[in-house]
Amino acid sequence: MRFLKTGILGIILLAIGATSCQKKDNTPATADQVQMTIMSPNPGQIFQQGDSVHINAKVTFVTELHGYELKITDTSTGFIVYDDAEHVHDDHFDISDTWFNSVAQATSLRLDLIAVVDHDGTVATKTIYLQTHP
Amino acid sequence: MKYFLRCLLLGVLATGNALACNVCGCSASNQYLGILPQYENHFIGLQYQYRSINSTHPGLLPSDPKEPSSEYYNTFQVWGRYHLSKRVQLFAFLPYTTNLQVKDGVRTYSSGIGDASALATVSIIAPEKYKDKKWQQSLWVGGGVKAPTGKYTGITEMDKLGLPNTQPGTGSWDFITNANYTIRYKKAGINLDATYTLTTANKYDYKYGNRLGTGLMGFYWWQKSKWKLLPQAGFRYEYTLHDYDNYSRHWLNEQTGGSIFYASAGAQAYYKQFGLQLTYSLPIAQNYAEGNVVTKTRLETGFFFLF
Repeated sequence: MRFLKTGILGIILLAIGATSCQKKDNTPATADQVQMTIMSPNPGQIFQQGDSVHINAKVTFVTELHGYELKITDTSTGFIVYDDAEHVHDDHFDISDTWFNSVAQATSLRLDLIAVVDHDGTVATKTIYLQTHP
Repeated sequence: MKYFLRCLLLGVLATGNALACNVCGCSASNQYLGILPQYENHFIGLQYQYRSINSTHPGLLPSDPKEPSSEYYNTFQVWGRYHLSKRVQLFAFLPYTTNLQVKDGVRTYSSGIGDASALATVSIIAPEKYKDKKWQQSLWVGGGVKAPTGKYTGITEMDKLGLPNTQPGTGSWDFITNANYTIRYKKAGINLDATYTLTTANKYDYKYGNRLGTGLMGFYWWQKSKWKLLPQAGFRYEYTLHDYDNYSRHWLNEQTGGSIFYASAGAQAYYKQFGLQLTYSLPIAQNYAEGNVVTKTRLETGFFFLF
Protein backbone atom coordinates (compact mmCIF):
# COMPACT_ATOMS: atom_id res chain seq x y z
CA MET A 1 0.00 0.00 0.00
CA ARG A 2 2.95 2.27 0.65
CA PHE A 3 3.99 1.95 -2.99
CA LEU A 4 0.47 2.70 -4.14
CA LYS A 5 0.47 5.95 -2.17
CA THR A 6 3.95 6.76 -3.41
CA GLY A 7 2.89 5.99 -6.95
CA ILE A 8 -0.14 8.25 -6.79
CA LEU A 9 1.99 11.03 -5.32
CA GLY A 10 4.59 10.45 -8.02
CA ILE A 11 1.97 10.72 -10.74
CA ILE A 12 0.66 13.96 -9.27
CA LEU A 13 4.20 15.37 -9.23
CA LEU A 14 4.72 14.11 -12.77
CA ALA A 15 1.49 15.79 -13.84
CA ILE A 16 2.63 19.06 -12.29
CA GLY A 17 5.94 18.75 -14.09
CA ALA A 18 4.22 17.88 -17.32
CA THR A 19 2.03 20.92 -17.15
CA SER A 20 4.86 23.30 -16.40
CA CYS A 21 5.47 26.19 -18.74
CA GLN A 22 6.99 25.76 -22.16
CA LYS A 23 9.50 27.96 -23.91
CA LYS A 24 7.80 30.44 -26.17
CA ASP A 25 8.93 33.02 -28.68
CA ASN A 26 7.62 36.25 -27.18
CA THR A 27 8.45 38.52 -30.10
CA PRO A 28 5.73 41.18 -30.11
CA ALA A 29 3.26 40.51 -32.89
CA THR A 30 2.96 43.99 -34.33
CA ALA A 31 1.54 44.26 -37.79
CA ASP A 32 3.79 47.12 -38.82
CA GLN A 33 6.79 44.78 -38.77
CA VAL A 34 5.37 42.67 -41.56
CA GLN A 35 7.13 43.26 -44.87
CA MET A 36 4.84 42.77 -47.87
CA THR A 37 5.79 43.13 -51.51
CA ILE A 38 3.53 42.56 -54.48
CA MET A 39 5.83 42.00 -57.47
CA SER A 40 3.02 41.48 -59.92
CA PRO A 41 0.62 42.73 -61.12
CA ASN A 42 1.72 46.34 -61.01
CA PRO A 43 -0.53 48.99 -59.45
CA GLY A 44 -2.92 50.39 -62.04
CA GLN A 45 -2.20 47.63 -64.55
CA ILE A 46 -5.00 47.14 -67.06
CA PHE A 47 -6.41 43.70 -67.87
CA GLN A 48 -8.96 42.44 -70.36
CA GLN A 49 -11.69 39.98 -69.62
CA GLY A 50 -10.22 36.53 -70.17
CA ASP A 51 -6.72 37.48 -69.19
CA SER A 52 -4.76 35.35 -66.77
CA VAL A 53 -3.57 37.54 -63.94
CA HIS A 54 -0.39 36.21 -62.38
CA ILE A 55 0.03 37.30 -58.79
CA ASN A 56 3.46 37.12 -57.23
CA ALA A 57 4.06 38.40 -53.75
CA LYS A 58 6.38 38.00 -50.82
CA VAL A 59 5.63 38.31 -47.13
CA THR A 60 8.26 38.28 -44.38
CA PHE A 61 8.07 38.77 -40.64
CA VAL A 62 10.37 38.60 -37.62
CA THR A 63 8.44 35.69 -36.12
CA GLU A 64 5.65 33.28 -36.93
CA LEU A 65 2.82 34.23 -39.22
CA HIS A 66 -0.34 32.16 -39.20
CA GLY A 67 -1.39 32.41 -42.81
CA TYR A 68 -2.37 34.79 -45.53
CA GLU A 69 -5.33 35.71 -47.68
CA LEU A 70 -5.23 37.03 -51.19
CA LYS A 71 -8.44 38.49 -52.57
CA ILE A 72 -9.58 40.62 -55.46
CA THR A 73 -12.72 42.72 -55.13
CA ASP A 74 -14.77 44.36 -57.85
CA THR A 75 -15.02 47.86 -56.41
CA SER A 76 -18.16 48.74 -58.37
CA THR A 77 -20.21 45.83 -57.01
CA GLY A 78 -18.28 44.88 -53.91
CA PHE A 79 -18.16 41.26 -55.07
CA ILE A 80 -15.05 39.30 -54.24
CA VAL A 81 -14.01 37.77 -57.54
CA TYR A 82 -11.00 35.88 -56.24
CA ASP A 83 -10.15 34.63 -52.75
CA ASP A 84 -7.34 32.34 -51.66
CA ALA A 85 -6.83 31.86 -47.92
CA GLU A 86 -4.00 29.64 -46.68
CA HIS A 87 -3.65 28.60 -43.06
CA VAL A 88 0.10 28.00 -42.92
CA HIS A 89 2.67 28.73 -40.25
CA ASP A 90 5.94 30.31 -41.29
CA ASP A 91 7.88 33.56 -41.09
CA HIS A 92 7.76 34.09 -44.85
CA PHE A 93 5.46 33.30 -47.72
CA ASP A 94 6.36 33.27 -51.39
CA ILE A 95 3.02 33.55 -53.10
CA SER A 96 2.39 32.63 -56.70
CA ASP A 97 -1.24 32.52 -57.78
CA THR A 98 -3.10 32.89 -61.04
CA TRP A 99 -6.55 34.39 -61.43
CA PHE A 100 -8.58 34.09 -64.60
CA ASN A 101 -10.25 37.48 -65.14
CA SER A 102 -13.94 36.90 -65.69
CA VAL A 103 -15.16 40.43 -64.94
CA ALA A 104 -17.32 41.52 -67.84
CA GLN A 105 -17.55 45.28 -67.28
CA ALA A 106 -15.03 48.07 -67.02
CA THR A 107 -14.23 48.59 -63.40
CA SER A 108 -11.56 49.04 -60.83
CA LEU A 109 -10.35 45.97 -58.93
CA ARG A 110 -8.85 46.05 -55.47
CA LEU A 111 -6.23 43.43 -54.68
CA ASP A 112 -5.70 42.84 -50.97
CA LEU A 113 -2.88 40.78 -49.55
CA ILE A 114 -3.56 40.07 -45.88
CA ALA A 115 -0.97 38.50 -43.60
CA VAL A 116 -2.34 36.98 -40.40
CA VAL A 117 -0.08 37.89 -37.49
CA ASP A 118 -2.00 36.02 -34.80
CA HIS A 119 -5.29 34.23 -34.27
CA ASP A 120 -6.70 37.16 -32.35
CA GLY A 121 -7.30 39.12 -35.54
CA THR A 122 -4.05 41.06 -35.88
CA VAL A 123 -3.32 41.40 -39.59
CA ALA A 124 -1.14 43.37 -41.96
CA THR A 125 -2.61 44.40 -45.30
CA LYS A 126 -1.13 45.51 -48.61
CA THR A 127 -3.52 46.85 -51.23
CA ILE A 128 -3.14 47.78 -54.87
CA TYR A 129 -5.74 48.73 -57.49
CA LEU A 130 -6.05 47.30 -60.97
CA GLN A 131 -8.24 48.10 -63.96
CA THR A 132 -10.21 45.72 -66.11
CA HIS A 133 -12.05 46.17 -69.40
CA PRO A 134 -14.36 43.85 -71.32
CA MET B 1 -3.17 -20.25 -6.46
CA LYS B 2 -0.39 -20.14 -8.97
CA TYR B 3 -2.71 -18.40 -11.35
CA PHE B 4 -3.18 -15.67 -8.77
CA LEU B 5 0.39 -14.74 -9.22
CA ARG B 6 0.36 -15.34 -12.94
CA CYS B 7 -2.44 -12.91 -13.27
CA LEU B 8 -1.05 -10.41 -10.86
CA LEU B 9 0.08 -8.31 -13.76
CA LEU B 10 -2.67 -9.20 -16.11
CA GLY B 11 -3.83 -6.32 -18.13
CA VAL B 12 -3.83 -4.21 -21.12
CA LEU B 13 -1.25 -2.61 -23.22
CA ALA B 14 -2.85 -0.32 -25.64
CA THR B 15 -1.88 2.26 -28.14
CA GLY B 16 -3.78 5.47 -28.39
CA ASN B 17 -3.66 7.67 -31.37
CA ALA B 18 -4.24 10.87 -29.65
CA LEU B 19 -6.15 13.68 -31.21
CA ALA B 20 -4.90 15.02 -34.44
CA CYS B 21 -5.33 18.35 -36.06
CA ASN B 22 -3.86 21.79 -36.13
CA VAL B 23 -6.10 22.88 -33.34
CA CYS B 24 -5.46 19.89 -31.16
CA GLY B 25 -2.18 18.63 -32.50
CA CYS B 26 -1.35 15.29 -31.02
CA SER B 27 -1.33 12.54 -33.56
CA ALA B 28 1.60 10.89 -31.88
CA SER B 29 0.75 7.52 -30.49
CA ASN B 30 0.36 7.23 -26.77
CA GLN B 31 1.67 3.89 -25.60
CA TYR B 32 0.74 2.87 -22.13
CA LEU B 33 1.14 -0.23 -20.05
CA GLY B 34 -1.62 -1.33 -17.78
CA ILE B 35 -2.02 -4.74 -16.23
CA LEU B 36 0.10 -7.19 -18.15
CA PRO B 37 -0.69 -10.80 -18.93
CA GLN B 38 1.10 -13.55 -17.02
CA TYR B 39 4.39 -11.95 -16.25
CA GLU B 40 6.55 -15.06 -16.63
CA ASN B 41 5.44 -15.74 -20.22
CA HIS B 42 6.47 -14.28 -23.52
CA PHE B 43 3.54 -13.24 -25.64
CA ILE B 44 2.58 -11.85 -28.99
CA GLY B 45 -0.69 -10.13 -29.68
CA LEU B 46 -2.80 -8.08 -32.02
CA GLN B 47 -4.72 -5.05 -30.86
CA TYR B 48 -7.31 -2.80 -32.39
CA GLN B 49 -8.27 0.63 -31.18
CA TYR B 50 -11.08 2.86 -32.36
CA ARG B 51 -11.57 6.47 -31.43
CA SER B 52 -13.93 9.09 -32.78
CA ILE B 53 -13.55 12.83 -32.45
CA ASN B 54 -15.58 15.88 -33.34
CA SER B 55 -13.51 18.93 -34.26
CA THR B 56 -14.28 22.54 -34.85
CA HIS B 57 -11.70 24.38 -36.89
CA PRO B 58 -11.32 28.08 -36.28
CA GLY B 59 -11.04 30.18 -39.39
CA LEU B 60 -7.95 32.08 -40.42
CA LEU B 61 -9.42 35.19 -38.87
CA PRO B 62 -11.69 35.39 -35.81
CA SER B 63 -14.49 36.69 -38.02
CA ASP B 64 -14.31 33.61 -40.28
CA PRO B 65 -16.87 30.89 -39.58
CA LYS B 66 -15.67 27.78 -37.76
CA GLU B 67 -15.77 24.58 -39.77
CA PRO B 68 -16.87 21.32 -38.14
CA SER B 69 -15.52 17.90 -39.01
CA SER B 70 -15.43 14.39 -37.65
CA GLU B 71 -12.36 12.20 -37.39
CA TYR B 72 -12.25 8.44 -36.96
CA TYR B 73 -9.01 6.79 -35.88
CA ASN B 74 -8.42 3.08 -36.32
CA THR B 75 -5.19 1.51 -35.14
CA PHE B 76 -4.19 -2.11 -35.55
CA GLN B 77 -1.11 -3.04 -33.63
CA VAL B 78 1.13 -6.07 -33.45
CA TRP B 79 2.90 -6.18 -30.13
CA GLY B 80 4.72 -8.59 -27.94
CA ARG B 81 6.82 -9.17 -24.88
CA TYR B 82 10.04 -11.09 -24.51
CA HIS B 83 11.79 -11.93 -21.25
CA LEU B 84 15.48 -11.28 -21.29
CA SER B 85 15.60 -12.53 -17.71
CA LYS B 86 13.27 -12.86 -14.74
CA ARG B 87 13.67 -9.18 -14.02
CA VAL B 88 13.90 -7.66 -17.48
CA GLN B 89 11.18 -7.56 -20.10
CA LEU B 90 11.31 -6.21 -23.63
CA PHE B 91 8.23 -4.95 -25.43
CA ALA B 92 7.84 -4.08 -29.09
CA PHE B 93 4.95 -2.40 -30.90
CA LEU B 94 4.21 -1.94 -34.58
CA PRO B 95 0.98 -0.10 -35.40
CA TYR B 96 -0.92 0.29 -38.64
CA THR B 97 -3.36 3.17 -38.80
CA THR B 98 -6.35 3.98 -40.95
CA ASN B 99 -7.68 7.43 -40.21
CA LEU B 100 -10.66 9.12 -41.75
CA GLN B 101 -11.76 12.71 -41.71
CA VAL B 102 -15.23 13.74 -42.84
CA LYS B 103 -15.64 17.43 -43.55
CA ASP B 104 -18.40 18.98 -45.62
CA GLY B 105 -19.25 15.46 -46.77
CA VAL B 106 -15.75 14.96 -48.12
CA ARG B 107 -14.01 11.83 -46.82
CA THR B 108 -10.22 11.97 -46.54
CA TYR B 109 -8.30 8.83 -45.64
CA SER B 110 -4.80 8.53 -44.28
CA SER B 111 -3.40 5.03 -43.83
CA GLY B 112 -0.09 3.33 -43.34
CA ILE B 113 2.37 1.76 -40.97
CA GLY B 114 2.82 3.94 -37.93
CA ASP B 115 5.76 4.59 -35.69
CA ALA B 116 7.31 1.48 -34.16
CA SER B 117 8.41 1.56 -30.57
CA ALA B 118 10.29 -0.60 -28.12
CA LEU B 119 10.33 -0.56 -24.34
CA ALA B 120 12.40 -2.34 -21.72
CA THR B 121 11.16 -2.68 -18.14
CA VAL B 122 12.95 -3.83 -15.01
CA SER B 123 11.34 -5.38 -11.98
CA ILE B 124 11.85 -3.23 -8.90
CA ILE B 125 9.44 -5.18 -6.74
CA ALA B 126 9.61 -8.75 -7.97
CA PRO B 127 6.25 -10.52 -8.04
CA GLU B 128 7.96 -13.82 -7.15
CA LYS B 129 8.59 -12.53 -3.65
CA TYR B 130 4.86 -12.45 -3.00
CA LYS B 131 3.95 -15.73 -4.57
CA ASP B 132 1.14 -17.55 -2.70
CA LYS B 133 0.66 -14.66 -0.29
CA LYS B 134 -2.60 -12.86 0.39
CA TRP B 135 -0.99 -9.54 -0.38
CA GLN B 136 0.86 -9.46 -3.66
CA GLN B 137 2.53 -6.61 -5.44
CA SER B 138 4.90 -5.78 -8.24
CA LEU B 139 6.58 -2.71 -9.64
CA TRP B 140 8.13 -2.43 -13.08
CA VAL B 141 9.87 0.64 -14.40
CA GLY B 142 11.40 1.16 -17.77
CA GLY B 143 12.11 3.24 -20.77
CA GLY B 144 12.04 3.02 -24.49
CA VAL B 145 12.07 4.76 -27.79
CA LYS B 146 9.65 5.44 -30.62
CA ALA B 147 11.19 5.50 -34.07
CA PRO B 148 9.86 7.53 -37.01
CA THR B 149 8.95 4.53 -39.15
CA GLY B 150 5.52 5.86 -40.07
CA LYS B 151 4.72 8.08 -42.97
CA TYR B 152 4.87 11.78 -42.18
CA THR B 153 4.91 14.25 -45.02
CA GLY B 154 5.07 17.46 -43.07
CA ILE B 155 3.25 20.19 -44.87
CA THR B 156 0.31 18.70 -46.67
CA GLU B 157 -2.86 19.94 -48.21
CA MET B 158 -4.54 19.07 -44.94
CA ASP B 159 -2.19 21.40 -43.12
CA LYS B 160 -3.54 24.25 -45.09
CA LEU B 161 -7.01 23.33 -43.98
CA GLY B 162 -5.84 23.21 -40.41
CA LEU B 163 -5.48 19.44 -40.06
CA PRO B 164 -1.89 18.29 -40.24
CA ASN B 165 -1.97 15.31 -38.00
CA THR B 166 -4.02 12.48 -39.27
CA GLN B 167 -0.82 11.07 -40.70
CA PRO B 168 0.36 7.64 -39.51
CA GLY B 169 3.69 8.87 -38.16
CA THR B 170 5.13 11.91 -36.45
CA GLY B 171 8.54 11.93 -38.12
CA SER B 172 10.27 12.18 -34.76
CA TRP B 173 12.24 10.07 -32.34
CA ASP B 174 10.48 10.06 -28.99
CA PHE B 175 11.53 8.68 -25.63
CA ILE B 176 9.19 6.80 -23.34
CA THR B 177 9.34 6.18 -19.61
CA ASN B 178 6.93 3.96 -17.76
CA ALA B 179 6.17 2.87 -14.22
CA ASN B 180 3.67 0.16 -13.52
CA TYR B 181 2.60 -0.87 -10.04
CA THR B 182 0.10 -3.57 -9.11
CA ILE B 183 -1.13 -4.47 -5.66
CA ARG B 184 -3.54 -7.27 -4.93
CA TYR B 185 -5.34 -8.74 -1.98
CA LYS B 186 -6.64 -12.21 -2.65
CA LYS B 187 -8.64 -11.88 -5.87
CA ALA B 188 -9.03 -8.12 -6.05
CA GLY B 189 -6.35 -5.69 -7.09
CA ILE B 190 -5.42 -2.25 -8.26
CA ASN B 191 -3.08 -1.31 -11.05
CA LEU B 192 -1.43 2.10 -11.28
CA ASP B 193 0.32 3.01 -14.49
CA ALA B 194 2.13 6.13 -15.67
CA THR B 195 3.80 6.80 -18.97
CA TYR B 196 5.60 9.95 -19.96
CA THR B 197 6.62 10.53 -23.56
CA LEU B 198 9.34 13.03 -24.26
CA THR B 199 9.06 14.09 -27.87
CA THR B 200 11.67 15.58 -30.14
CA ALA B 201 11.34 17.79 -33.18
CA ASN B 202 11.11 16.13 -36.57
CA LYS B 203 13.03 17.18 -39.67
CA TYR B 204 10.44 19.88 -40.36
CA ASP B 205 11.20 21.25 -36.88
CA TYR B 206 7.66 20.46 -35.83
CA LYS B 207 7.51 19.09 -32.30
CA TYR B 208 4.50 17.32 -30.88
CA GLY B 209 3.81 18.06 -27.25
CA ASN B 210 5.19 15.85 -24.51
CA ARG B 211 2.53 13.57 -23.13
CA LEU B 212 1.62 12.12 -19.78
CA GLY B 213 -0.74 9.16 -19.56
CA THR B 214 -1.86 7.69 -16.26
CA GLY B 215 -4.33 5.03 -15.29
CA LEU B 216 -5.82 3.64 -12.12
CA MET B 217 -7.69 0.40 -12.68
CA GLY B 218 -9.26 -1.99 -10.25
CA PHE B 219 -9.68 -5.63 -11.23
CA TYR B 220 -11.04 -8.89 -9.93
CA TRP B 221 -9.65 -12.29 -10.75
CA TRP B 222 -12.05 -15.12 -11.40
CA GLN B 223 -11.26 -18.65 -12.56
CA LYS B 224 -13.25 -21.67 -13.53
CA SER B 225 -11.38 -24.69 -14.86
CA LYS B 226 -8.99 -23.44 -17.54
CA TRP B 227 -10.92 -20.24 -18.05
CA LYS B 228 -9.82 -17.08 -16.36
CA LEU B 229 -11.72 -13.82 -16.40
CA LEU B 230 -10.65 -10.41 -15.17
CA PRO B 231 -13.28 -7.69 -15.17
CA GLN B 232 -11.73 -4.29 -14.60
CA ALA B 233 -12.80 -0.70 -14.22
CA GLY B 234 -11.14 2.58 -13.44
CA PHE B 235 -9.97 5.88 -14.78
CA ARG B 236 -7.41 7.25 -17.17
CA TYR B 237 -6.01 10.75 -17.34
CA GLU B 238 -3.97 12.03 -20.26
CA TYR B 239 -2.27 15.39 -20.57
CA THR B 240 -0.55 16.71 -23.67
CA LEU B 241 1.57 19.82 -23.84
CA HIS B 242 1.33 22.29 -26.72
CA ASP B 243 3.04 21.45 -29.99
CA TYR B 244 5.71 23.62 -31.52
CA ASP B 245 5.22 24.74 -35.12
CA ASN B 246 8.96 25.41 -35.15
CA TYR B 247 10.81 24.09 -32.15
CA SER B 248 14.17 25.76 -32.72
CA ARG B 249 12.43 29.13 -32.87
CA HIS B 250 10.05 28.33 -30.01
CA TRP B 251 6.91 28.90 -32.04
CA LEU B 252 4.46 27.44 -29.59
CA ASN B 253 1.11 26.45 -31.02
CA GLU B 254 -1.30 27.26 -28.24
CA GLN B 255 -4.22 25.83 -30.14
CA THR B 256 -2.86 22.36 -29.45
CA GLY B 257 -2.64 20.14 -26.41
CA GLY B 258 -4.94 19.63 -23.49
CA SER B 259 -6.20 16.99 -21.15
CA ILE B 260 -8.79 14.29 -20.96
CA PHE B 261 -10.18 12.19 -18.15
CA TYR B 262 -11.77 8.84 -19.01
CA ALA B 263 -13.89 6.36 -17.14
CA SER B 264 -12.93 2.91 -18.40
CA ALA B 265 -14.38 -0.54 -18.06
CA GLY B 266 -13.45 -3.81 -19.64
CA ALA B 267 -12.45 -7.39 -19.19
CA GLN B 268 -9.78 -9.87 -20.08
CA ALA B 269 -10.36 -13.54 -20.62
CA TYR B 270 -7.86 -16.38 -20.90
CA TYR B 271 -8.13 -19.95 -21.99
CA LYS B 272 -4.90 -21.93 -21.83
CA GLN B 273 -2.40 -19.93 -23.89
CA PHE B 274 -4.92 -17.62 -25.49
CA GLY B 275 -6.18 -14.31 -24.17
CA LEU B 276 -8.74 -11.70 -25.19
CA GLN B 277 -9.24 -8.18 -23.93
CA LEU B 278 -11.85 -5.49 -24.42
CA THR B 279 -11.87 -2.00 -22.93
CA TYR B 280 -14.36 0.79 -23.44
CA SER B 281 -13.51 4.32 -22.36
CA LEU B 282 -15.84 7.24 -22.12
CA PRO B 283 -14.54 10.79 -21.59
CA ILE B 284 -16.06 12.39 -18.55
CA ALA B 285 -14.03 15.60 -18.67
CA GLN B 286 -11.81 17.04 -21.36
CA ASN B 287 -10.33 20.23 -22.68
CA TYR B 288 -8.37 19.82 -25.87
CA ALA B 289 -7.33 22.47 -28.34
CA GLU B 290 -9.07 25.26 -26.49
CA GLY B 291 -12.25 23.22 -26.59
CA ASN B 292 -12.23 22.80 -30.35
CA VAL B 293 -11.68 19.05 -30.20
CA VAL B 294 -14.05 16.69 -28.43
CA THR B 295 -13.28 13.01 -28.07
CA LYS B 296 -16.47 10.97 -28.16
CA THR B 297 -15.47 7.42 -27.36
CA ARG B 298 -12.60 4.95 -27.34
CA LEU B 299 -12.72 1.21 -27.77
CA GLU B 300 -9.78 -1.18 -27.49
CA THR B 301 -9.74 -4.86 -28.12
CA GLY B 302 -7.18 -7.53 -28.87
CA PHE B 303 -5.92 -11.02 -28.32
CA PHE B 304 -2.72 -12.55 -26.96
CA PHE B 305 -0.87 -15.74 -27.54
CA LEU B 306 1.28 -16.69 -24.57
CA PHE B 307 4.27 -18.96 -24.93
